Amino acid sequence: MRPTPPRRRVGAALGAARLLEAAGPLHAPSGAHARAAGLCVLALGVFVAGAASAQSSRPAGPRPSGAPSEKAAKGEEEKAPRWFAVHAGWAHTVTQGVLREVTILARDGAIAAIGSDLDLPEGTEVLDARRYHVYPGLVAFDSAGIVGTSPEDSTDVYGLNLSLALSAGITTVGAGGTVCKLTYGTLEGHVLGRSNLVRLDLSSSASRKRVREALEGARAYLRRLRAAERAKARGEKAQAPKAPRGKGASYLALLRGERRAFLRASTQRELRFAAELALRYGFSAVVDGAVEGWTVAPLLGRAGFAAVLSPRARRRPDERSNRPSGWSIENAARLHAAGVPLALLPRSRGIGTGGLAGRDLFTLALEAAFAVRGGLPEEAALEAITLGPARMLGVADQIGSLEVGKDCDLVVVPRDLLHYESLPEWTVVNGRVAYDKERDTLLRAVRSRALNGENLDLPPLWPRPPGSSTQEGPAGE
Amino acid sequence: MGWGTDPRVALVAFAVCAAAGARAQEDDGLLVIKAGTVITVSGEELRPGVVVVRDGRIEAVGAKIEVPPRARRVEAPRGVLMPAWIVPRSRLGLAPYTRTGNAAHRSAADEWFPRPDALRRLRAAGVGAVALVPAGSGVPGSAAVFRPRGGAREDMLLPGAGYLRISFAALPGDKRTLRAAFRAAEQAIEREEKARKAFEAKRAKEKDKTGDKGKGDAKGRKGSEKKEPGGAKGKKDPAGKGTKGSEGKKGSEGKAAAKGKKAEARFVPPPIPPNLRPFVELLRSSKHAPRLVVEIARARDLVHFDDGFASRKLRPCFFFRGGEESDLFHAVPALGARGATVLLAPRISYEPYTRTRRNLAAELDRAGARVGFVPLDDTAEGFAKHLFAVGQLVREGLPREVALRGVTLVPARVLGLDEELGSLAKGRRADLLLLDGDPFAPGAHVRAVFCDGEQVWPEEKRQ
Repeated sequence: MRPTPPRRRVGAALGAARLLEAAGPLHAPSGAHARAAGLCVLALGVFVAGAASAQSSRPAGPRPSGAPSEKAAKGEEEKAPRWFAVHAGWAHTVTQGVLREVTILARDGAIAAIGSDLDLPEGTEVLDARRYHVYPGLVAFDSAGIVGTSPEDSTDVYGLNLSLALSAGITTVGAGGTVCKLTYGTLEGHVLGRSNLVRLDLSSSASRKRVREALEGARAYLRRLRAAERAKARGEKAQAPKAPRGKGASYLALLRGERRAFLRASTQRELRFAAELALRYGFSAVVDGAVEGWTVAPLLGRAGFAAVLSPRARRRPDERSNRPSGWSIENAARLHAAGVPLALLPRSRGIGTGGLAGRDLFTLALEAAFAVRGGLPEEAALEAITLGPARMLGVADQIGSLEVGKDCDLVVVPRDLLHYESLPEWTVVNGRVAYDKERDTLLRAVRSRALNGENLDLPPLWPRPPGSSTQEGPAGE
Repeated sequence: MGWGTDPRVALVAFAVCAAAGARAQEDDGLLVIKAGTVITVSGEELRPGVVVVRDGRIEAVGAKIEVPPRARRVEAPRGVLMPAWIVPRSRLGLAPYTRTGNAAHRSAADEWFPRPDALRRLRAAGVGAVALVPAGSGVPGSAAVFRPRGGAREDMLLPGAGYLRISFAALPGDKRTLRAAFRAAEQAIEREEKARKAFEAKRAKEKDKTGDKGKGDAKGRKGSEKKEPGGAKGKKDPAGKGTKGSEGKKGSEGKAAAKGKKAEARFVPPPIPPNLRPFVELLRSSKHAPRLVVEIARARDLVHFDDGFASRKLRPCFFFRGGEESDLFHAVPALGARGATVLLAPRISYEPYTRTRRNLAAELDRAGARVGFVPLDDTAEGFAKHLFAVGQLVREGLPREVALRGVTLVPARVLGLDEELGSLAKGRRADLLLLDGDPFAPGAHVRAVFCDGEQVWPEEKRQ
């Protein structure tokens, strides 16, 4: 009785058709959900336009988990596929807007179909989130103390920090040179990839000089190589120059556009230097910090920079300068307007339990909300904690949005993710429920499902209307 | 059990005893212990029961056995007799020396310096055997088992018993060490296979030479030429070995040519480093393969062990090195599902960051794992409290039989001694413990301890 699982590329088209179908019964914009519905309408437009190009934009290579027909051809001895489905009230896809009342079906941890009327195979584990908002799992560009120093050999898959990160909705973190999934209790699919970034140290004049010399060396090699090639084309005898190795090779890859640079720059001066260096040598970079980025936003956009920033990172303005300086709450918004892709991170890249509204990864979504407060559009803020960092880490073909073929990493929240009251109820990694608030020791009691049932139309917790209690039913509007 | 139930056997026993008794006035080889309760561990509990011991081994266990009048007797109508209990892991009396990396060829026996007073305390606590483990991370070596009888150091050690200790609590180092050890062992096996093939090819060639000279020579050469590129492809280091092998071949060929007909040479495998030998045996799953005890401190360690070595089908025992707070309850379902043997200290632990109490031993037992106990306090004084501590778990929900097996038979099996110690059955060594109450009752005291049928405690009081 099992329907033949859709092949991935066909699946994308199929998913698209179903999405259109699903978008039919649009939720009437009312009350708290008006914004989401608005997004949904927006999504439709984007989606209709993007549906045709969806196929070409996806990477063509078949993913091991997403090619069921090949596996089936091998024979019966293959392990039975693991099916997982989420009935989502609101599916925030990031790339295709918000979909109402859809089911996300995953096979062996990868999304196989998204649609409103899917036949679920027998034995599918179903998560009923029809009253919840479903987002792709959050991505932290950088992290400390969540996964092990060499993740495949030392991550504590039952660790407190890892489960707290999951409870914040984070499913993927960058750690050193590695990109890791927060696979709770298992190492299957733990390491997602290796970072492709080349670190440039621009902190001191000596190190800046070294970087410049190395770049110059790589450029000189490219020139010699081109000359040798030209000579060869002319029929002359020419010896190809010796290719640089080690660090030189990574600088070469930088100039060839095969890799991206990663550098730290916060002040206007540092940012200007980095941008001019990038423009001169023609490489693209991810810049970490960028507190004064808003003052040079167009330049950073022109240089093709992407920025990792903390919306709440502060810096005193320079009173001696007559130019704008210091931090601004509009930093993210201005950079976004200048076309700089963003990844948002809190000030601390670890996990701390000192306060719910802390400045650590435990409040990653809240950090994005702060950027929204400064004028960043909500969709952009959401992208800056999902697809944006995924792109910078080089894993955007696998995670970062709800799309057929990508990994089934989800975070399920009772309301808008960026809302300060939002606490994830479930976090799903690779099609497995990795976190369930009801079983968490720390957050179990906060707006508990068990206490409140599935009734989510609760009176606001804060400010509390006089005489109300949190455990009462809906107050009625 | 034969002796107790079958009257004919009992009769034979009587006859044998009578004959022996006729020869000597007092039969020193025969000891009969009658106790109000006999806990056999492997069989049913007998109330009352009799245990007959001859020459240090148990000859019969039963509810009623007729015994010759001249046999030495111990009568304890209200006593409880059980096998002496076993410590499956201890560092008692060992030099404080730690190792890192793979030292699988080392044994704790080499660094053991027993203190007579400690041995006396062990006897008083009713300890039948103690496994001494080498300290350190990675693969620090194998455990040595001794019985605290007293006497010479070598006489106390039990050769052949013990296990290979693998530490898996210091990640990532331990995982890397073990992975490297297995990889090196695999390469050693590959090397040997290659050498064997080369040897056989050479012998075939020589045979051909003696038969049809021209033809065989050509064939042999072809064969060897074909083989060499294949060998070079295999892995990195075989390149070096390949040249070595061919050198050896050349040399032997030259000799054979010089001497003409020579007696058939036997294949001599290339030497395997001693610290890889246990791993080679494990990979070959030979009967010389060591028993394994993998020490884990956190649940993640088991996940990492399975991640790296589940495909090797090792089926090791595990030792939980958890403290007061332990997240090892995460590992319980996985260990139960595979029916693993787990050693742990008898303590109620807490879930990390909480005051939620966990009786891990009971949970493991319910999940389907076998539980063995390691004393909480690794001192001779601490051993005296071991049975009481295990009893605490029984009061918190662990079945009593499981607790009894956990202090006797399960540790014996871990050490490979379940045919020798850990239960009261025919043929087992007569290492017995006579108590004045249930072993897990708080007020129970050890009244007498026997080792090989000889009373070793209390010393002065010989019956």
